[in-house]
Amino acid sequence: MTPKTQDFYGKEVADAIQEACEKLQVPQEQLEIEVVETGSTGIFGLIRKKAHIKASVKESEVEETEGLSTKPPQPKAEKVEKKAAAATKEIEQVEQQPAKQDEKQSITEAASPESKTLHSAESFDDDEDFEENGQLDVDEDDEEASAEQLSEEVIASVRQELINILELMGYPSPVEVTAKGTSVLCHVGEEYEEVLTGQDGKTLDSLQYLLRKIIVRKVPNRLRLTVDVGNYREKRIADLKERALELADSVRNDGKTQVIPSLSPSERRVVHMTLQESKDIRSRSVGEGLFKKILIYKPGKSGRGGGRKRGNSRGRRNNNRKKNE
Amino acid sequence: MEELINYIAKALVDKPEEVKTVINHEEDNVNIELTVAQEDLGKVIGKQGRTARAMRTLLSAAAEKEHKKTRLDILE
Repeated sequence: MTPKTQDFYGKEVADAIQEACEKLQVPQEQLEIEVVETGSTGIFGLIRKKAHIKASVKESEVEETEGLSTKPPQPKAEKVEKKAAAATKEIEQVEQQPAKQDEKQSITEAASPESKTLHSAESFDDDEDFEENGQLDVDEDDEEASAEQLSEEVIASVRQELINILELMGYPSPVEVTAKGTSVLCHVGEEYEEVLTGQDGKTLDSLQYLLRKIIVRKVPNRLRLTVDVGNYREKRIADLKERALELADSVRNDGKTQVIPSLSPSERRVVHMTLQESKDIRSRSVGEGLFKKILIYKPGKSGRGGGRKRGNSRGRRNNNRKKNE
Repeated sequence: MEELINYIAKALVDKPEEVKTVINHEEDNVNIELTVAQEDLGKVIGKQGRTARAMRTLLSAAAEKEHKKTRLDILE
């Protein structure tokens, strides 16, 4: 069919094809590919087989063919058209194996994991694709740029909004706003830290929530807005981490499940992240609504959600409450 | 305190001109009644009353200064 057929090997068929593309300096669509061996990762990496393909450059053919067969008995393997974009000059080629419609379909599916490779190859060659890609890139760039640009005005309005609310609350404070990408941090002066934080940060969270709501309506961009008073957030995170580790230790010692009550999503995240590193301890959120408690427990012993655990957790929770106060 | 609720409510609704607040002082209690346009009710209440709760939290923080208890009623 084609002048020079070369052999290529790779961990997977896709790798082999990519190598072929590089060696022969053509996009994949212009390759005549016959898969000799699909290769396998083997068991525990013991019986590894390399994927083996035969590839050659098609002449004056803007077509993409794909062959897949586990054994190499027939030199003429099934060929598949994959891209509608390349379909125009397709017909003569396809006629070579007119009876293989069904196989084609299944093969197309089988070959789809390779589409990544395909994409990179296409952008060289297919004008249309290239333009589309280019267009997409430009759009993304625009978006990013505008997000950064707008932030300047946005920051000012976020700051003003927060200042207004604080003043109306009767706790006028200096506000410092810093932005990193789309995340905006509003830092409120520490003078009224206690009252603005509230119990377990409830007031601060309310302030943050309302400010977000207000800003969403005022500003076209999506922002990740955080409000902090003094160093509250940082302190809170440090506290939670410490507490999580303490409780994890006590779970390790006596195997009893421990509970931290009433945490907001971001606080729960901190606890889960902290405990993720310790392999022998698990953490899990229970409850409904925004504020949930976290169970810290030893996996295995007590059955999931078993009565024993519940009894324990209730007892523990009271202890924790005392600790909190 | 009245202005606080007024300000926040106006920033949250589509028809700020229809936002009205009335304040009643009774001894140590401060009652604020908030009225908004019918279609904006959901905006000041929020999912599961979250927005209303947040406003109440800020309100009580603001009243802490004067050692007063607050109540926010949203009128239909």
